[in-house]
This record gives sequence, structure tokens and C-alpha cells, in this order.
Amino acid sequence: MRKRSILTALSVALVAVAFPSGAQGLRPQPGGTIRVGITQEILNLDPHVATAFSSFQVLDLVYEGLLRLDPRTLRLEPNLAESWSVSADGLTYVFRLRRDATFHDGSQVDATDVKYTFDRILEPATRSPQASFLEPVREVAVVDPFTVRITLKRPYAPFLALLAGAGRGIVPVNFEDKVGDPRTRTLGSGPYRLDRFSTSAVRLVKHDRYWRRDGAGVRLPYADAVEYRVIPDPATLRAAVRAGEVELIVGFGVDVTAARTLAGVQGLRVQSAPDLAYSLLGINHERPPFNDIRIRQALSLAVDRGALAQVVYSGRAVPAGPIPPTLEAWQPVAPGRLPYYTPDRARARQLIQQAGQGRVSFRILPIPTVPEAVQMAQVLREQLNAAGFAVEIEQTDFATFLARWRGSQFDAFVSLNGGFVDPDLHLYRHVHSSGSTNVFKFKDAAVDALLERGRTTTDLGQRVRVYRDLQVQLAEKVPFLFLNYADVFAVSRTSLQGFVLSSTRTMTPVAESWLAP
Amino acid sequence: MRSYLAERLWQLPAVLLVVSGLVFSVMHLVPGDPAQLLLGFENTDPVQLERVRRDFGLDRPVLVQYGRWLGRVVQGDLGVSVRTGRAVAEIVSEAFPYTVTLAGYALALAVIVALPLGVWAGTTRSRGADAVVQAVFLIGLSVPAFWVGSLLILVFSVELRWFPLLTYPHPWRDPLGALRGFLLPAVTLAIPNAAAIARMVRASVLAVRGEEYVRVARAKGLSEGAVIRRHVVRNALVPIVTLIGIVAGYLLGGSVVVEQVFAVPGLGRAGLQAIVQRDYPLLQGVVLITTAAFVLVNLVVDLLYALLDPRIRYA
Repeated sequence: MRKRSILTALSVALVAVAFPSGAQGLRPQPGGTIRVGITQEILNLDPHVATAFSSFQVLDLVYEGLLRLDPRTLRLEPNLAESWSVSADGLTYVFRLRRDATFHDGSQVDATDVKYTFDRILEPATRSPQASFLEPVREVAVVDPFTVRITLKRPYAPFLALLAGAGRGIVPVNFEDKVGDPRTRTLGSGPYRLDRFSTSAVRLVKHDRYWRRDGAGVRLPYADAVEYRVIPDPATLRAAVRAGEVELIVGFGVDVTAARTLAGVQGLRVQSAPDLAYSLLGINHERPPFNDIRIRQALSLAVDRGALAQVVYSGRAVPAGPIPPTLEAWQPVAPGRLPYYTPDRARARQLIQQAGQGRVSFRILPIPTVPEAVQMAQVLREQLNAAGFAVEIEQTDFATFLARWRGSQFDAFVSLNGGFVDPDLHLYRHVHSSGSTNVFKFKDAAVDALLERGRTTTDLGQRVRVYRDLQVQLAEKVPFLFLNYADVFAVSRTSLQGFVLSSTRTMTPVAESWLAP
Repeated sequence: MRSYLAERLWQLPAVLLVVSGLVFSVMHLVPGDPAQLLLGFENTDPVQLERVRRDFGLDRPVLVQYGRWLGRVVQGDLGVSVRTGRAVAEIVSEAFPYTVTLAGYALALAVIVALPLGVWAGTTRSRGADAVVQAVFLIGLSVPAFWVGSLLILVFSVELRWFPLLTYPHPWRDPLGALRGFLLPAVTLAIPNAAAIARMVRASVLAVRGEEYVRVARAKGLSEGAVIRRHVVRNALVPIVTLIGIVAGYLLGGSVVVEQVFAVPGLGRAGLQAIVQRDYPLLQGVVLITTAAFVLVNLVVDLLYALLDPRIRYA
């Protein structure tokens, strides 16, 4: 008895030394279930086939890429690959894998799994939307059990950035035989494995042998389980976190309104981060009036991006140039210093006159799945009509929008383009004449040449210069109007500690979050 | 009686055929490509698009697609959802219990409130009280469900925390939990239906009250309570049961708004998703189930008539 009390006293003293007063609350607590509210149904859990954002909110914790993006700095860092080297010609990449990573069935992650993963993504029968990104891959070779060599057909600067994320997550050899139906079952190496799946609720449980440890050497993840609940109505989503039914709401549906109504509510914490995705006014270059560059420049001059950010996002957005302001390493040019970016109605009218047109009329199609898009179209209509345009708004449902977007059957549309940390991935597919999502039908030889150089140059300094030129070119030639980079938000209960909201909206920080008692 | 039943049941496939054909053609008339929706916004490879269309038979003429679908349904196969790749039968049978629980609960609440209230409104001699009750019915009919739902959530789940949000246990496995979990959505769904039924009860009771046999019953010296119970209400029930049947049929189709606001994963939401995603097989599955439920509920109502009123017979 006496012995015991001495021991207790000792351990109390030790704890007091290790965690000086007031710091106890910050000590990560193991156990518990983190409940996350999301707005969209969870449709498909095959990491190489899924496209919905909601799928990746789950997959982020189940599958892991060779590299990963630090959620705060957005820099690439080692993950399943502990180190790598690139040949001088930019064609050969060698990755050394870490030896302590295991899949959820206990088997070790090795080089054959990496090869199998790339082959699966590139196999046409898989129908992976990731395949086009990895098209430059010529061959993946197993050098030894923990070394992989990837050879490219031509230098491809954004390649490393593509290896981060669950979409290129490593799966074991014979994945489909082992897992059954990969749309509803999983087998990855991430911090959590699937326990229960339905389209409206998913439960993940801890992967006991996950390799990553925290700064103090404690094995991650902390929480025993993560539960996702689909709550389609944004008001109910906000009510759910207020009522304590979920600990975290994040992603679409958690917007400025949520941030404003929930800021200052006892027991809640609102986080924000600048988005990589941007809103845009897309235009059709094959139709008048936008086949005339003067009209496009007039369009850019007629729009007040700052006012748009104020009205639509309550100031929680910034005017957008072609490269997100968060990617400082790529030297984004401030919108105020880009040509045709400072609002000037008189000059816009002048340009329209020079183009020999009276009132330039066209229709804007706002994307129905982005709540702000209609409001944005309305503000644009006012701004543009004041500068000599005659704008009408046309509303459709999403399926119709998508069909018309795909078929370039529009004068103009308002939408949101997803962002990437590499400028090539961010811009090439939208503005290159052969770009896969160049629905604008924008064609410009000088822009194409810059994009090619940016893609095939591996020297970082040279790439930065290429993309600086490109930013100015894009502002001058106006393939479409980059409008705003808005903030993204997450609201959590204060009992959830350690969650960091990233500009990429990734869920990976959940593995390093814990529930305070 | 038996031949009547057989005839009504025989009509069911015909109704299903017509409804499914209508829905199929309307869905194909509106623009939108399920294959592109499946591949997502950013994947635009035409080869993959064709592959998906072929996989799901979407490259065939609409009539052929309908014929093939029909052929499979006759064999009991509802097909595969384009969007999720899961069996439609599985998705529908996952969603149906939620909708049935919610519908049954809401209907029970509506009837329990509407019957006494309607009878009272139809028999009261106070004009003022009648006007107030009539106004209440009108408000009940007019308030939008999304507003009532959000209000109930804010008051009872967020502020008072009396009822859980998002907890919808299976009614057989956890009946008490289900009664609690489904209460707020059921109340939201019950309010307009209770108002509609109560109005019908009131009107029907008023009509019967003027009948001669009611005067005769009073002349016999029956107490007012007995007159209302035995003669007025019993005779007023036929149109009321008709309305309740129609309401039940609608409720079984799933309420899109209430399921959306309360995040209930029921049939209404599955149907909405199917329309938004142009998931033809899933929508057809949802429509088949809800149409069948509607027809069967109305059949039960027709049979009830005979029980309520011996003058009604089915030969």
C-alpha cells in the first residue's frame, strides 16, 4: 500500500515535470471516435477510380502515396518512399521505400506493390481518371524489394507532385482478388481501415501497425475510429456540429455562412485557409463576341474582382491571378500588376467600340453545384452591363450544365476550377490548345510553347521564370477570367485537438488529431 | 370479393409498365449524360467515356435500353446503379426501411391529432373556436417543411438537446430509439398531412351531421356523445379513409425535403440523387417500388370501405 502511494506520487511528479502547468490539455489522448460531417454521398472507395471529393475525404485516411504534401506548407515530403533521386535528364526516378509500412492485412509494402499500383492505374480496363496524369510513364521496374525505378517517356516536371495523395495510393499486388469489390471494400496502408460502408455513413477503425509516429515517438493515429456522416443540408450540417453530434465539419457546404454563424459559438473553433481552387468566368472562343481579343480584354477590364470578393464571399476571398497566392515559391504576380486586371469601364467601352460592336450581349451559365456561382453571375451581370455588355443568366441542373460544358455549348459560364500545387497541373489542361479541359477552345501558340517548356524543364529556377511570363501572357490574352481564390473553412468542436485545415482540404491531419476528455 | 382482388392485383403490372415507361422516356428527353457524370468534371477522355457507355448499354437506342431493362426486371433483376456500381435492389432495400418507418410514424401522428381535432371542429357550436381551428389548419398546410424542420432541429436538437440529430435506429431492433430518433422528421412530415386530414374530417362530419338518420338518433334520445360516435363519425369515415390512403401512398414514396433536411438516408433522397446523377436504373428502381407501394396501399383502402360500410360490396 505504502509502496503504491510512493509510486503514484513519483509518477505525478514525473508528469508535472514533463508537462508544466496548463499544458496537460495539449497532450495527445489516445482512443475515442472522431465524427465528421460531410455534405455529399460517398459513392466509390476505389482510390484509382473515384472522382468525388467526398470519396477522397474517406480515402485520404485509408490509402497513401509514395510522397505526401505537408498540409501546412504544401511542400512535398517523404511518405511510403523515404527518399528519391532524379537523373540529370529528368527521365529516371529512383525511389527507396521505407521498410516499416504495412497494409491493413499485415503484409509489408514493397516494390512489387508499387509496380502493381502504377500498372493498375495505367491499365485501360481500370478506367482510372488518374491514367492521363501518369501517361508520360514508360516503365516501372522493381530494382530490389525496397527500390523502384520509374522511367518516363519525356521529362515531366510535375511528376513528383503527382505521387502525393490517395488518388495514386499504393495498393497490394492482386489488389482486386484480395479485396473483392474495391468500390465498397478497401485494402491500403493508411492510418485507418474500413469497418463499415454505406453511401450515407462510413466508419473507419485504426490501423494498429501504422508506421508514422508523432514528435514524441508515439504511434499514430490517436483516435480508435473515424465516422463520416452524410448531411446534405448545410443548415443541418451546422446544427450537427453545434449539437455535438459531430466533432468536425469540413469541405463543401462549410462556407462563409457557416464561418460567420458559428464564429464565437461556445465550444466551437473555426479555421480557415486560402483555397487553391478558383472561381472563373469561362468564355467560348469559337463564338462571337469572344473570338475577338479586344472584347475579351474589355471583359477583363469591366470586372471588379475585388468588389466580387466583397459581395459574394464577404471579403473572405482575393482577386485571382493564374497562380494561387499561397504558392509563394512560384512567385505569383499580384493581380494589381497584371495587365487588364485593374477595373476600367471607360477603357472597356473604348475597346468594345474599336471592335466595331454596339452592345455585346451574351449569356452566363452558373454551375448549379456551387452555391456562390449564381450570386457571382448576378454581380458580374451588373458590373458588365455597366460597361457596355448585355448579360443574361441562364440556369440549368448539373447534368445539363456538364453536358453543355463538355460540348462547349455556352457563351460563358461561372464555375470553380480545382487547384494544384504545381503550376503545370494547375494550368496546362485548361489553357493548352490540346488541354483535356480546354472547353473554352482557347488556342495560342505562345501560351502553348510556354506550357511545354514549363512541363519539360526540370530546373526549378527556369520553371519559375517560364510561369512568370505565362501569367502575364494569360492576363493579356484572356483564355477566361480568373476571378477569386476564396477561403476554405473547417468548424470543429474544441474537444477535437490537433486538426489542421489545409488549403487542399485533405483529411490526413485527422490521423494526428485527438479528442480531449 | 376474391375475383375483385385478383383483378386489382392483375392491374398492378400494367400500372407499373405505364409509369416506368413514362419515367424512362422523360429521363431520356432531358439533357445530361450519366457516363460523363460518372467520370466526373475533370476526366474527359473520349475513349473512357465510350467504354462506360458501352458497359452500361447507354450507347444503345432508348427503346432497346428500355426493353432490356424490362426483360431483366421480369426476371427479378433491377439492374446496377450507374453511379455506384451497386445493385439497385440492394440500394433500394437499404433505403426503404427508413422511409417506411418515417412514413408510418408520420401517418400515425397525423391521424392521432387530426381525427379528434377534426371531429371537434365539425361538431362545435362556437363559431369563434371553429374559425381559430380552421386558421390553424391553414397554417399547418402552408408552412414549408424545410422551415419547420430547421426550426425543430435548432430548438430541440441544438438548444435543448432533447432529441438526437442523425440517429435513426432500425425500428425492430431498437423500437424506443427509433421512436425518439425519428420523432422530429416525423412531426415535420405529419404537420401538413394532419392539417389536410383534419380539414377533411371536419367537412365530412359537418355533412353527415345534417343527415336525417342523425336527427332520428337524437330523437330516439341518444346522448350527443353517442350520436357523434356511433352515427356521425362512422358514416363520415369513408372519404377520410380515402384521403389517409392517398397520404400514405405519398409518404411511402419518401419525402425529399424532410429526408434532405434531417439527413435520413431514405427513398426520397435516393430518388433525388438518381435524378441529379441521371442514374437511370436506380431511378427506375425507386419509381417501381414507390408505384407498387402506392397501388397496394390504395387497394387496402378499397377493401377497408367494405368493412366500414356494409352497403359497399365487391362482386
